[in-house]
Amino acid sequence: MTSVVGDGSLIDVERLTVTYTTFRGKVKAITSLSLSIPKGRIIAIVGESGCGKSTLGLSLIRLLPRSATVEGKIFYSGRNVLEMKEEEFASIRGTGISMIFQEPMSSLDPVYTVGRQLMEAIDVREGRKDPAARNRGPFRRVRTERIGTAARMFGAYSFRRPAVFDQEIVDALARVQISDPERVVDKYPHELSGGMAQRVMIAQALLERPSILVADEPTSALDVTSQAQVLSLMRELKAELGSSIVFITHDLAVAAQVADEVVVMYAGEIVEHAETNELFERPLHPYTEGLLNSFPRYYRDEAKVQEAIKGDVPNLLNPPIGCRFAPRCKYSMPVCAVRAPTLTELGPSHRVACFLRSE
Amino acid sequence: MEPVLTVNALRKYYPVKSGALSGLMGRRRLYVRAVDGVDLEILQSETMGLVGESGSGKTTLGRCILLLEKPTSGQVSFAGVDITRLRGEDLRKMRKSIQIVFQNPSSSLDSRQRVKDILLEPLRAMGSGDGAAGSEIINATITSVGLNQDFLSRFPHELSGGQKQRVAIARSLVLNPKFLVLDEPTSALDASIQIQILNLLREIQERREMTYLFITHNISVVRYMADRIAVMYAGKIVELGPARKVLEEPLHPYTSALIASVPEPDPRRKIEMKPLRGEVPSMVNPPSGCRFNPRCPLAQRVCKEREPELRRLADGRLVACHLV
Amino acid sequence: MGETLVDRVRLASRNEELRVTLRIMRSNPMTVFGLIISAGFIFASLVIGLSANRVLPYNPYALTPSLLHPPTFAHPLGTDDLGRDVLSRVLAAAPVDAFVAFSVVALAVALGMFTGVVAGFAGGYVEEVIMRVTDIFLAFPGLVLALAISAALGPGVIHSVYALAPVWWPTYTRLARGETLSLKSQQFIEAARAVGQKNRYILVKHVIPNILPTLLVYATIDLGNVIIVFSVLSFVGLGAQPPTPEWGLMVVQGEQYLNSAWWIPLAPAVAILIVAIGFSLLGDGIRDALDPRIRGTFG
Repeated sequence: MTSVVGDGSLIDVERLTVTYTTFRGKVKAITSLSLSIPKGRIIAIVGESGCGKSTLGLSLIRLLPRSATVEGKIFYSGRNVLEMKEEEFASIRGTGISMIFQEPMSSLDPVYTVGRQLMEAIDVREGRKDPAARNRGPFRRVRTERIGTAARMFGAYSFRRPAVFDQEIVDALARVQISDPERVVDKYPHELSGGMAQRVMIAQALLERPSILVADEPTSALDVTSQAQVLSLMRELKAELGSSIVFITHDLAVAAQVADEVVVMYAGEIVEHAETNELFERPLHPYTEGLLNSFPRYYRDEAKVQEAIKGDVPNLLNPPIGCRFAPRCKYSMPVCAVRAPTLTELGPSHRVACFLRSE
Repeated sequence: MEPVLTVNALRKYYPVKSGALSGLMGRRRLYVRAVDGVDLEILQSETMGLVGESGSGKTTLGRCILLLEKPTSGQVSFAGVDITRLRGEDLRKMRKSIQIVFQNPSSSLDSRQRVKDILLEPLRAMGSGDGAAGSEIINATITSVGLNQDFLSRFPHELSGGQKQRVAIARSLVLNPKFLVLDEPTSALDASIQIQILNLLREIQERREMTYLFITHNISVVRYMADRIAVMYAGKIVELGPARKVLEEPLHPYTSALIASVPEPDPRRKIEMKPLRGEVPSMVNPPSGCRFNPRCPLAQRVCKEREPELRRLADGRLVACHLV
Repeated sequence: MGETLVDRVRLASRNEELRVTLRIMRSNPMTVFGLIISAGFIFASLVIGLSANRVLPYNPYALTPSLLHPPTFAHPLGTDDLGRDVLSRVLAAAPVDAFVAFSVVALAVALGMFTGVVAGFAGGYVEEVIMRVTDIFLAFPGLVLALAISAALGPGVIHSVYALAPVWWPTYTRLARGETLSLKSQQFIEAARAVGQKNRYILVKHVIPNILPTLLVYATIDLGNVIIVFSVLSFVGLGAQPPTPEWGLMVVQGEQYLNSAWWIPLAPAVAILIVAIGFSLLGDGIRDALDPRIRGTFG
């Protein structure tokens, strides 16, 4: 879990800098970020809006908007992913690095059934370019399609309505705790609830069996009961899939539920990175501390007012020199306004960027 | 203590739009039963937390109380007056007493208006407004929400999310209402800003002796804000009681499941429960008997047959469940 | 949860919308070209119209004995069959066409916006009735409708305005209603109701200012179209009447000279072409500038 390019890490991000060019100027979404994502672990990226966590996720899968300029390196399987041509990287997307988004409804095409869309995931995995190829190969048929008799008479087998589905798809849906998967296979996205749709997305990821799954706020749009379900699913799947999961969230409590490691970001930089238990027991960065204190934990009748971090998230057009959190930090010292602290290791598996803790 | 707001047998049904033809073909009119029979009493100066997930009807209930929507049946009484009967001018005058803060500050403020005009709007609607008295009120109000008077000349897009929500809160206070409906006021805000706004709301409530109806899906937030909590499911209240009791000793199985699903920022306390099976029920065709019965781990036969009533227990708590 | 940085980068506020729009327009040479032509046309029309033709080289109505002269230095576009300077007539026609174009579009937008907003805001029966009436008008091909009304009213510029407005207002009704509907779900409209604002006030202060920009974009594109249709009206004798200089009319009257004194019909025809293209390019440019996909690449 150190920043050394080692054997255990799947992805090594080296000094990544992402700048968006807007009409208002250049926004430095991420500044010189370095991170290793180890194999088979869930690593949570936690931060508030504007911290750059979504940008980091999009960088890993190379889906940044055209207005973004990227510097630095991202190594996957020993190769710098940022230097690859689009066609080359496209083959990595899906089976190597996959992503699920916050709004499951927008990730599903409304005119195709669930089964059909999951079928496409299998196509990608098997490298099938042509839907007809689905008919060949060792896949068990679950049901026959309801082709009109007339069509069948004329040999029009490509004229399919509810199509043939691999048992694999039904199994994948059952795996994500969707009750009645055979019926769900024929449903359209608008017939699903948010929680179900998100689980369909996870099923899709399951079918592709990526080495890394990037999940950008996958539970933020869900009810708390659906969220609990999805989180427990993710824990199980990590074990089963052996994938690494990069779990982007604004919610520290959610991170506490699923993550093995937590990375705290602020204003485009990593301010703290530790094993989950370690981070929550001994938060070293004032921002992490403040964030933990912001979680409402008292009853009204206890009449305790929790301390808020004063001020607002900084403007990334013109980030402050020195430590970006200094203007809001209650421990800030003169040096904080002048120099930017570097991420240093302060104990096994605990990195912090703060002058208070390291000098 | 006399309740300041009473809701009686409130129902709000939305017709499911079907084409004119299907009506002719004799298809029964279908309704989305967003709120299906709610009784509620809110006491002076308390914060009543209204908790539920999406589809529970909590937002619709809030809007009906404010009469932003006309209830299909039932009534709402404020300070002894049946406000559901009010029309026209009387209805508008009532708005001085009951106000609302919406969830999304970006869409609840007209981006074409300066903050000053946003704040003056309620006064103008009531006929006063332009003039020294109006300016004084908005100056005082903007400072009371933690923003200085420079903000009056700005446009919403120049403000951060937290600042925008402060403006929305200020707007709701300008007419000096005694009752405020807060519909997920911090759900769209960052965690560090959220606690600022919650503290602000508490402080305003105490200073102005206001009563709050605080609608949210977030259990930790409602714990921090509410004196009593009402839990809604599928258009009905299933449990109501003092905040601590409801959250620590929940009576209704749904409440238990809800509370158990809430993640705490403590990695040692992982959510261990078995997830609730099934989905939120259809509001057009709710399950027969207790609406929660298809998902309830404790469901008995009687739960499928008869709908439980919201009963008052010995300690004053209300719960709608056959098994309690 | 607050918006991500990516979202905020893609979103633009009102002021910024304008700046981005202008920037995108500036970057497209076609749009700039259209803008120059349109602005030139409007400016020239104002100057010529307000000065009552005094700024023109020659009086467009003055008959001279030099008939059918080809273009010379003294008469850059030649003279017509009554000895009138063609250039002056072409220029004098500009305010006429500008007047018709702006009147028709203004009327159409005003009428369309009013009906559309009422339909969208009120809903129910009112909306149904308004929209069905609108559909009836839309069922007629525009030119046919204009010709029919014009024939009934009789020739003349003002009558043409009355004949042309009904062709365009239904489009704005549809547009305004659509915009109003999407605006209704915006919470600040609800918020205004919550503080007790009367509906009338909400419509005027909140709804209209927010939908006007979209309508104006379409109006710009339509300006060019109106000029063309008006020219057709004049062409068939229903629009402007002689001796009023008007491009369509001049083309009709000069048609017989197409082989001999070609400058007589050609000059006004080219004028129509240039102005219509100008507005069209400008409108296209504005519409592209507002297109969210293209805006995305500009940050």
